[in-house]
Amino acid sequence: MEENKVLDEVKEVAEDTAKEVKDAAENAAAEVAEAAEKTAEEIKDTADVPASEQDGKAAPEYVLEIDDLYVEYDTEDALVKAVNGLNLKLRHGETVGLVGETGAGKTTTALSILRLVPDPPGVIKSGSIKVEGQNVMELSEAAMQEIRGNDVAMIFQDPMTALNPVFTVGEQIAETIRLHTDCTKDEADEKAGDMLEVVGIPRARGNEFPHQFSGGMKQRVVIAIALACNPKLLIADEPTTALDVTIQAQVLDIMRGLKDQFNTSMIMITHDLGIVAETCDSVAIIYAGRIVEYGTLVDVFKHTLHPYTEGLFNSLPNIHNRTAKLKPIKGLMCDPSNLPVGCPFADRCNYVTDACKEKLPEQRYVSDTHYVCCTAYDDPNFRLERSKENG
Amino acid sequence: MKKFLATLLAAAMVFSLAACGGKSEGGSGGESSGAESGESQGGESESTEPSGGDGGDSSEMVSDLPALSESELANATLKKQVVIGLNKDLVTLDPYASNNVEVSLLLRMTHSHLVKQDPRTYELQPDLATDWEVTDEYIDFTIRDDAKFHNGDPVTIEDIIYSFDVMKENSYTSSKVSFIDHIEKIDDTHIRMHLAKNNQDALRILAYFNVCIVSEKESKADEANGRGIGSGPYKVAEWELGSHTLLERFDDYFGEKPLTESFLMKTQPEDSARVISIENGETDICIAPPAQEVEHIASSDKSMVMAVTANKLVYIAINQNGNHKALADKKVRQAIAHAINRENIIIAAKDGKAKLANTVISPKTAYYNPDQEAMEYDPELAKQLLSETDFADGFEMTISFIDGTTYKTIAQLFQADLAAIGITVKVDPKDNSSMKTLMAEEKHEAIIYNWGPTPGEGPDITFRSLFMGGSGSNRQILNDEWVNETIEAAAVETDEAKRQDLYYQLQEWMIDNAGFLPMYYEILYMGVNKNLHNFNIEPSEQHTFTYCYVTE
Amino acid sequence: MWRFILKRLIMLIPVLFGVALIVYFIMDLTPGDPAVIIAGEDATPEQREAIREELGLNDPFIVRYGRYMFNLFRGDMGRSMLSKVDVFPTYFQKLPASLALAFGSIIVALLLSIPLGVLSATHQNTWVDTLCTIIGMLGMSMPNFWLGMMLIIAFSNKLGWFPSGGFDGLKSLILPSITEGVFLLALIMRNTRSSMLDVIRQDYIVTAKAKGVNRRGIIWHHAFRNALIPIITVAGMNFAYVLCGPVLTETVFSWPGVGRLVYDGITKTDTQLVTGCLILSCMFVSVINLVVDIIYAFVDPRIKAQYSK
Repeated sequence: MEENKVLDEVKEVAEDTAKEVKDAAENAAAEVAEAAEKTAEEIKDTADVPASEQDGKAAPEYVLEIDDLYVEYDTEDALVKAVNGLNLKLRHGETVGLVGETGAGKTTTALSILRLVPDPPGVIKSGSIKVEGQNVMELSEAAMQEIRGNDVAMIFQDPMTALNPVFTVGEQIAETIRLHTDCTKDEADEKAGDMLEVVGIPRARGNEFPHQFSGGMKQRVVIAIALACNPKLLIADEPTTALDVTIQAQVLDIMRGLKDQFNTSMIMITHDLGIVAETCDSVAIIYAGRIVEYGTLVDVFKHTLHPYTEGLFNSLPNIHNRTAKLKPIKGLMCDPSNLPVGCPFADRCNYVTDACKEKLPEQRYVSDTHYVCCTAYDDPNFRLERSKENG
Repeated sequence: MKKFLATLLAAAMVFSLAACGGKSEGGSGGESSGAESGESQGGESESTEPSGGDGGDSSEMVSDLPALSESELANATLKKQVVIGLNKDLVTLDPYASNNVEVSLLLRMTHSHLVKQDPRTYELQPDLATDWEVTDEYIDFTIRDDAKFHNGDPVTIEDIIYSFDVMKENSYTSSKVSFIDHIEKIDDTHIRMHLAKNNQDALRILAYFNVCIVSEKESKADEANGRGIGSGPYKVAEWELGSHTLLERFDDYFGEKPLTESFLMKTQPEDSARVISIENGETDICIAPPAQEVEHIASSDKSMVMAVTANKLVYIAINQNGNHKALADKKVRQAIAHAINRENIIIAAKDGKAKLANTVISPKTAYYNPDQEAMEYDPELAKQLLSETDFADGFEMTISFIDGTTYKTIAQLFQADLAAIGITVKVDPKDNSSMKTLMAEEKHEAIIYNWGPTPGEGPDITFRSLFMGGSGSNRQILNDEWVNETIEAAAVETDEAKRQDLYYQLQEWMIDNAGFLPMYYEILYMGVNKNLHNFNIEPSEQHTFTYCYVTE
Repeated sequence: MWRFILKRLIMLIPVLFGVALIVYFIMDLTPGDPAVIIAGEDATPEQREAIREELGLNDPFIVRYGRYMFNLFRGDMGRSMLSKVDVFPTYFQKLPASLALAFGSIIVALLLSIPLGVLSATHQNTWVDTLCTIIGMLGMSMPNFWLGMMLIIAFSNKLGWFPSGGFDGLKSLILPSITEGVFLLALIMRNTRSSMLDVIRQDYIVTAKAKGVNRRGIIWHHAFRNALIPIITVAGMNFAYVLCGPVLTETVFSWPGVGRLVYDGITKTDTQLVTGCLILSCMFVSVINLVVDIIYAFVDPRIKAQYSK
């Protein structure tokens, strides 16, 4: 009895503290966002005209179209099939969350868009990737270099190693600017300073070196570099995984703010469903190199279709039931150098049938916006446990 | 597969290169076949002409380049600077600080002596002394009054007396001038040299390269190199240790003025590089080229080869007074002498370019006995001799020498030859200073060394240094009463025939004693510019360059 | 940064003490009696003893060492036993030749090794890489006196383009620099290659690529500067080595450098000369190390930050 009472008290205090922290963080983020907004406004006035408003030409509908992408790594030991028939479409201003475990093929997909897959041993076997209607597979390296950092930008997971230690932060931002716009060194430095302020770092610190910044600030610099030339598509590969929670909130706020201002599309690669919930418009669940479920935020969260997605939700700890056991997905992701013939999730699935193991399930649209790749839905009445609860 | 092929290819290339590497005989580290171990000891006196003791070798070899005639000289342009490539560095300018042959090259040009020798005939000539009178107790000299040191000071009697005082103290010169008791000044141009003992070769000794006159003032002012200031036809303009020495003509010289304005002596320790220098025409004279490279010099269009049978005798000395019982036994030593195949040694170590030695002194030394025979190669006789001793079962011994290709080859053949009669020899190469220390302490069992007397010199210095009991150069550690007495007797003997007889007896005794085993007389080579004139190659390696010149 | 340099300069003094003690001790142990060398092997034992007394060779070690150190601080390193020249000025007389050779060989080495090393790294496991590896192996295995001789025969003797030896202006520096530089080249190239391979794998290179930097910019602007530190280390070490005594090259080319001075001193057991020269050489190596450390600070700002702490 006593115990429960103490526990309840602790719970209350914890919740209060959590709330306070969240408030504080939000306030801080709000202030930063305000300052950022101001500078961003100024930048926006001089920014490029968004593609969708270009006069004359009809703008492409999608900023990114990945069609049937197959990517392999041909190493001495094995042939690793990282991406197996991936499809993804992204509109202007849209943010899609690419969710999956380690080894699912998320980073490979992202690198493929920029043709940065290390070659050797990586090989883009087949498929097309269209950025603003242009198939990047057909472009020369020189043309790719123009797109990188300019139309499509990428930020990486580990901010600690993402910056070159021998150049100042300001130089690294200015480099992007000078690469893609026609301006003098001084102008570029000026703009670099602007970008620093946008991400909430005092302008004067542009002369300092990366080792003089904390992890969160480094990541903000990385973001500044990525957005310096106002890209149409930003690929964020687990940008906050290496940061602690409070900083995480700040960084996400900044990203969200900038994204709104410049109408940048974003691919948010993450394994954290909480982040997806806060930042994304649509969700793509990736498993063994394919999208196994895709839909809007509401679609996937409220009307979950794929057993893997269900497993992901189930494995989240329940804040309302602290003593409940965690429910991980049983088994491990299959070996990408040794993929099974049928559905790759088969041996971990709670709903598996023999049919699953025979052939790869195909894309099946359940609504206009929501599809799933699961054999179980051959039966139109099939529902997951989770969906049954949520209705 | 690719990696394996690459490794294989690389390995093959490396092996093939390593195999054809290491061609140069001289290798590195300053070996030279010329003056390989240390110094040629200086000798004295007696003016016997070099007889036909070379056995006809000199007929093929050019050893003398004559001077141009008056008319030829008038039409010729002479090179202002003659460049000489030395094989060893000039370590010091102090004439009393070493007996090294290369220093003699310098001193003949920079310093004056009481008397000097003609480089070709060895005839005694006036230098600082214009006239002299010899008696049993003293020698009177008339000294010229117009000699000047390179600093402008006149050469005075005081300087001469001072020089000899220093020589008596100094370890390199003291034994040579030991025959002098003291020098008395008669007046400003006359001195009387009182003799401590009579020495037939006195005047020759006074012509020896480092028995020269230095300035008292300079010597006291600069203890290190003040004695480098002499009164000879050339003065030292520049001296850089390890690099070069520049000599410039001294215009106030009292004697005949030489034709070449300056000499540059470059230190080039690497044999092959020195040879290439003369072939290229970068140097005009190349000292001590290795025998194997002589053909290259001859075939170049800029250079030619001069050669002469040298005074230098390479020998093996056996310590007969040390701790080694077997080596103290004369028969054992004789067995060893017969066991050695000296012709093989000449072929292997000197590429056949040397002359078999027949006695313990070299052909250019006076009272050299051309009929004396050294012990023949006869392994059967050797075995028999050995079996008659207490050491018939064989024994072990060590042969030491200064590390270098030639001596090592000799040592290895010695080892093989003695193995055939049951003696185990350990080959012991040493560096320069360890070897000198070993010999100084008389701890060696057998050594390979050399002896090179001076031009035209008499036998006294040689016999005294090599065979006299207690001498610093006596490597057999011999101390025989008869030998000592005979050497002393021969030194003072005035009757020619009797003197010759004494020295012939000594030579025979030495061969029979088999403590001093002569191997071969070196052939001395020199590479020179084809347009070099008025120079003769000196068998003792103490060349006189003073009056040579090169035409353009 | 200045405090760092000052501190290091002050630290050179205890280094000097230590070096002097060690060198003096070792030279004392070497076989061979200087008195024999000076007096000649014909000298009588009395004469040798007199020389020993004169040079103070009979005093105990600590007395001799003390005397030496006292003189050292007055700037007097004594005289060469054989040549009677002052050791200190003689060393500095030879130093320019050694410096010229050191610079010459480092330049030759760097000119080729860095491009080859970078090429090797960017074309890893291709035939280019293999070829560079073979060149590297050749450079390291080739005996350098043999190479020197071959160069002399080819370029001096047969072609007459260069003098065969001696230090006589820039032309005479070329063949010795190549001879000495080839070995360095191999070393530095291997180092460059591994250093670049390391750096190219780093995350910030991917960032740079994602920015749209072209290949040359990636290699030379972004990667190379980060790869520079180990290269500088190896280059510095080898510069010190060539400065202090590439005896084989100096002999083959009759190069009047410090190496031969010390070598001649050792073979003649000229202890005084060798001791002085070794101490001076050690001091120069220390100074070179300091210079290398300073260069690090200019290349990598993290190191500079460390120095300022």
